[in-house]
Amino acid sequence: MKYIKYLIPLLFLLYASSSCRKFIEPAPPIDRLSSDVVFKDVETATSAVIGMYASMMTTSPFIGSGGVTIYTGLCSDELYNTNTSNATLSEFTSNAISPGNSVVVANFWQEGFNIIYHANACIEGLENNTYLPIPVRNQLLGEAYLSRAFIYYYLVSLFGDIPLILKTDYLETQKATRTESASVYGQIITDLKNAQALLGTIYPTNERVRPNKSVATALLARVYLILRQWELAEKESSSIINSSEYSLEPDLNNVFLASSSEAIWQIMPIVEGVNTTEGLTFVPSSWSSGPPSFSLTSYFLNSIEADDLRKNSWVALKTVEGQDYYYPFKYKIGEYGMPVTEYYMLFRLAEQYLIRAESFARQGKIDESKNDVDIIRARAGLSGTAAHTAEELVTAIAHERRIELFCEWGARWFDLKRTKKSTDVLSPIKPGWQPTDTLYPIPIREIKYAPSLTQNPGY
Amino acid sequence: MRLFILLTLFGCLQATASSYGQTVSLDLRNESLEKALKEIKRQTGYSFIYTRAQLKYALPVTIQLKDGTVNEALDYCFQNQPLSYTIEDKYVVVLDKSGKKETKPDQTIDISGKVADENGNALLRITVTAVKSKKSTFTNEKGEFTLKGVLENDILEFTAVGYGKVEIAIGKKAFHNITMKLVVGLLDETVIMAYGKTTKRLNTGSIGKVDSKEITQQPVSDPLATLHGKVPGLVVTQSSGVPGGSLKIQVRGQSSLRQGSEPLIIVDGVPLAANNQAINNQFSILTTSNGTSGLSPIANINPLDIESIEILKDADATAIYGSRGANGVVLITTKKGTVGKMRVFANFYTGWSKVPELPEMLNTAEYIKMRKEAIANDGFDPSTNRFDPGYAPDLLIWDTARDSNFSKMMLGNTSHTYNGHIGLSSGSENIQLFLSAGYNKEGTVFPGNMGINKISFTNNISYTAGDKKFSARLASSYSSAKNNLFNTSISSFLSIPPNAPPLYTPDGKLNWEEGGYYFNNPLAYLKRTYDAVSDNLLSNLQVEYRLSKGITIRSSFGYNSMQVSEKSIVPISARRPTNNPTGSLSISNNVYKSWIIEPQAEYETQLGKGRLDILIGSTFLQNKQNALSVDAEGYKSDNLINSLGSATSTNTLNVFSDYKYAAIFGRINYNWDQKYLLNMTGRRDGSSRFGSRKRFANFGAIGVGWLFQEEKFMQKLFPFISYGKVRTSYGLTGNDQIGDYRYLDTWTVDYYNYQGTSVLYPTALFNPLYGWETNRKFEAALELGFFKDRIYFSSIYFNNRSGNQLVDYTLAFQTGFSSIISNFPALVENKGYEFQFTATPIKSKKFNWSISANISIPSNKLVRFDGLSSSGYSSSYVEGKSLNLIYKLNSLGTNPATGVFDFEDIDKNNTISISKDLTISGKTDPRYYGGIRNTFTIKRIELNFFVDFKKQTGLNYLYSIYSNFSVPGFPINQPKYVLDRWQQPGDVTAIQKFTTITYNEAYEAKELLRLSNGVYSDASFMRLKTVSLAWQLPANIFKVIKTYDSKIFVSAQNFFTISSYKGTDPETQDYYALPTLRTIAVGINLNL
Repeated sequence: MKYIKYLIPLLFLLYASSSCRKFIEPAPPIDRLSSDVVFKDVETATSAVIGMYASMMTTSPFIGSGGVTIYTGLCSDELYNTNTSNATLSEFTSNAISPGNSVVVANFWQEGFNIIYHANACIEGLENNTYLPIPVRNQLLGEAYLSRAFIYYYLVSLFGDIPLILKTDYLETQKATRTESASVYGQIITDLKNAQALLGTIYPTNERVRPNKSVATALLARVYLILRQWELAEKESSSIINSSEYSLEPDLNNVFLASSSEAIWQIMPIVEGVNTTEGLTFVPSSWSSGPPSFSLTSYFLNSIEADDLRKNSWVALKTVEGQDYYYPFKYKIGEYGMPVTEYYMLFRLAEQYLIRAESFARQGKIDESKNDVDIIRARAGLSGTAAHTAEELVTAIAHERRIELFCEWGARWFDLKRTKKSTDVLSPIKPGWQPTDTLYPIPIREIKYAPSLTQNPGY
Repeated sequence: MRLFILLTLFGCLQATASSYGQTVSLDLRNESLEKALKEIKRQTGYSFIYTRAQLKYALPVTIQLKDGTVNEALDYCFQNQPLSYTIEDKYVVVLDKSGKKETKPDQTIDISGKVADENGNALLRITVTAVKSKKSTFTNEKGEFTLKGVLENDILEFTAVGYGKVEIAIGKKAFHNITMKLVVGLLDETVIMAYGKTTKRLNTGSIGKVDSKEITQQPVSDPLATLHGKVPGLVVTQSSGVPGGSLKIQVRGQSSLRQGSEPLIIVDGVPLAANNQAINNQFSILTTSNGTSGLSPIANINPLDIESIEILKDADATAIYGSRGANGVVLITTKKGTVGKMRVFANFYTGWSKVPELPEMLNTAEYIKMRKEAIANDGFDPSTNRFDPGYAPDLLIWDTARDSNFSKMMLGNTSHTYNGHIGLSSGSENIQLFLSAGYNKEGTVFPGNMGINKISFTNNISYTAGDKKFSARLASSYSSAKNNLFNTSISSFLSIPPNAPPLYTPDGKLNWEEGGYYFNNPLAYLKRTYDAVSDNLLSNLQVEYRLSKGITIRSSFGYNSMQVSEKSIVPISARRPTNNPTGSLSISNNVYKSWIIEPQAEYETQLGKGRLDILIGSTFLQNKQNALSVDAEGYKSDNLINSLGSATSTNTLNVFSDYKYAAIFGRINYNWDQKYLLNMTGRRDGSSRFGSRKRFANFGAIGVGWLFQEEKFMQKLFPFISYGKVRTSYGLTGNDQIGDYRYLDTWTVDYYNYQGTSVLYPTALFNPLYGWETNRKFEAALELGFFKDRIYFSSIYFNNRSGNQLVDYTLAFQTGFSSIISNFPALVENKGYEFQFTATPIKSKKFNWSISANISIPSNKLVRFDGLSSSGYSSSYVEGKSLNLIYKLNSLGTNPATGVFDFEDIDKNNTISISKDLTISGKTDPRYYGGIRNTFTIKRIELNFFVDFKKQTGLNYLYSIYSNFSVPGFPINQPKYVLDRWQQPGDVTAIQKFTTITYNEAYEAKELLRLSNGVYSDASFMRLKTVSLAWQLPANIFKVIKTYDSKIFVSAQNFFTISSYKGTDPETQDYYALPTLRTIAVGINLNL
């Protein structure tokens, strides 16, 4: 009993120290949000997810806003750079990309994994989320899976085997090694199937700037085409073509407008007075006296049939000092300060027709295939295809894809690679071509800081 | 300079040593025995214990002795006396010859007594020791003590921190009344330490102290400005001479690579919420290019309210602050009331300040010459055509006969300072009170009516209950400072050409042009107003209850709020009317709030021959910052400019942070017989700044000391040494100045939106392993006092190693980010020597001379940084070298052939690369620094000099010239230094050829020079920091009221500076910053 009074201060101190852990949890910051706060509220969770589209829509050509179109266009036989003193660009045109090339490092690899992180952070925040109403959670989670699959699709197409990062914890992700392409495609399919299950058939907001289920389907069709799973590709593309939601724009000049009826997914520009990055890059400014920065090659121009309306609508000419420069004119606004009327097209119906046409042809379904090709040709003002056999049809479809999808998300470059024709087509016209050039180098900086990464052959 | 100091040190040592010795010389003729004993005491330092009664029958003595021993001298003295003596320890006990055998050595008695101070107040916790019986105890609340069974011939010693030691012989007396006096002796005066008090004598740690006397002597308004050169190991750097500007302080060097290195600042137990970070949000004349400047949070504390400032340096002193202690701790203690009759203090002074050395700019003739030469160098002709490269309206359109000195006009004025401070102290045994109010008005050297007005109030109330068990103390202060300045930089008006058009048009309006060519009117800058009001409220309540048996529980509750409101206005009238200008307004409000609760329990006991003191406590602290700023633009009328509603566009920004901290701490202090000292401290910290897996950490230190001169054999060997201590300490502290929330995976709102919905981006990785930087400190010190401490000398060696450095760690992009801030095994070492010396070479009733000097010789080194070459820091740091390395291009000066700056091509690849052609050329750390103070007192006059010196390398005028966009030759004015320029092949000059264009070699070389060692030069200086002359008023000067220690004084701050530095001020090191001002003040200091 005598010592009780000594216990009082001791007990007080003990009590004080036991509550420490709880006490030192600080109030969250207000100028930033921490992850555990973001996904507790519909508004902020939505902001986090659509932040992915905003970060894809940069005003210079990064992976989400024209970078794929421009740089693979240079690598293939579509484009050349008029300013040959720009070494970074010339490396693409001559297929001699150095592992330190700043576009490969920054525009593709860094930005790509940045968006992957963003998607992973959203998925982690939404997967077991019980704070949000289920329909909202499903929509947002579907969007995150879809966006992840979309970026991985381009990273694996550009680089081959890549680290497959599905988490945000840097302690783990910095150790990740390259994953076989097949597994990456496997993950893309899983993500897209998840997205299909989570997303609704109608778009969550006005316009088509946030994805619905069809977007996942459209990308799945594209992936199956690469994997030569013709039946599955046919099935997925059919489900889009058969839906009444989409129809081909009769006027080619309207295809890339915000209001395009064949758009499956578009991203809207976010900077006031700026339309698309591709428009800004390709269409020379009215006050500029020089040639456009990028010009279409004669190989491409010569491959267009004489009365193809697409040449009139989607190709434009600028003559500088007696020399003609043709440039892509799908997006028509190249000036700053114009009202935004064009959205950046990620998926559109015409591609799905061509995917299905090829799937039919590969399965020997000649008539169905011809029918789909001719729908695309008809819009371009051309008569039906002359191809009769499956083999002829595959060749005809390849040509049709080359014209319909030129300078659109690297379709030509990836088609050549998919059909293993890169060397046949490019070695005659590209001095120094090597078969290993179909893959871009892994950035040298990455091999330095993630030493378990290996380099692609040929670099 | 170093030599000078050493000579001074040794000179004094020698001079004094010769007048003392180990031996005794006596020449006495028929003098009383008492006088003889006193003389022996004076010469040897032995204490005598006797009663007057004993000496009553003593015979006069006649002795002639030269260089004898103590025993010899005493034997002479006691020859034929009815007395004898015996030496016990260092006491000579006088014994009655007859009674020698009277008290048997083993005869014991019980004694008791009461100890009180001079005013009769009972003194608590005084250690009472019976020296021979080896028994000791404490006094209780009533000042009483009891010791049982002590020897009758024993000696009682009474000791306590802050009081002079008292020794008495017990004799046969059973009850003793003892009076103890507060001492101000160097070794025994109170030194504030973490959660307690100590003395220089008993301290095991490294604590530097500046007391109110030194603070009061300097006519400055920021307490930190009084610390220049005062404390070894402390570097104080003033960022500019603008009043209210912040001072950077650093204790024992930079210990962190990238994070904060500011000491923790604690005022009366309350950590300042803003610490020493600049508290302004907005740009103003206070902001200088060296980046450390801004509005000082400490300037709000009135220096005249400060009792002392203690600087805690080593592990022993700082480890109890755990994760906050790595960079040292500054403890500011305010004045308290004392028991006794009411006293009134009043201090008034008025002062005048000027820039000692104005920036000297070109006059018109020189300017015209520069311009013409530059245009000719570039191969052009002066032209009035705007599109011509030689366009020179300043030469052709403006009148070239005008010559204005804008430096003098804008910086050459005298600023006035008025300061008034009144304080009152009063107290009974139960309640003591200190109240004060201060007012300070400080002008500027700029034209117009700018400056600072400050008011401050403090109250300090202590209450002790009648039974002395309960006590409480409330210390509160409130201060408010209002700054009226302007928001531009000094360079903006110094750069105006000297032949600029008249400042006013004939109709009295501001002029903007001549002949259609515009200029920046310096008077327009003055209209860009900047007003800042900072309010500081600081309050601390401490309650204490004494249980019994040496246990005390107490708790302190502190609160600090610092609020800064700023308003910057650029009115339409400050803008050129031709552009249809609009006005703009920026307002911001920055609020720091912190509270702290520290419950503690302390146990004191006597253990063996020692005194054991155990303290345990805990800390709860929260610190919030909330800032809001609004930029408003588009005002159409200056009359509406204060209203946010009239702006056409506004942009707002808010910042918030929350820091929470909880800890338990403890200290065990054991003092064995005033001889062996042991001090162990520890703290377990939990801080919200650390990552989720690293929230808690342990820190601690151990310090030991040995007062070797208390040993008998040492006293015999070195009788002239009156005090000697060796001490050493080692411990672990941490640096938590790593920012808030940096472990969180945060999302930030983007400026853009998507379909009208705001968007969020992930902006930081989850960083659970992010933790504090660790700082291991070692110190060893030797302290010596000679000749009854008239000379005191201390030398310290310290070695602090900071590891676990937080740096940006490069990540592979696959993680989603390019880098993460991460603890890294990089190691920074700060070591050095610190010497301190004080002496009173002459001490007499009429004339006193005392000197004190200190010098610090620091060294900073990046010991280790794994992977430095592949990190982003490869061109900033080099392993094995200082963090403040000058690792730059090697400037070869102006090439005599081309007239352009040349640099060494170190890798011999014929191009100059700013990352590959780097060379190490010194460092910007001070080589050594310190201060010397001399005080002379001649009767009532006191004269005091304080010299502050620093040997260092720093940025010179070339940096100020070439870090601008415009280079010499452009139509802007330049420092006079540019006249030493290249004109023709063969010229060897400091300045390259003049040019007017941005696309030639010379312009490119300007950028390289800025990144070269060419912009560094010696910035050492020796400054007569303070001179003060005071005349002490006679006590009866006012017939009605008695005064004591009242003075009339004249004092000067920064009186003159000796330096070979090229520029205006080796301290600010920026030609376009306002140099440290020279201030002369006169005043009166009354104590009634």
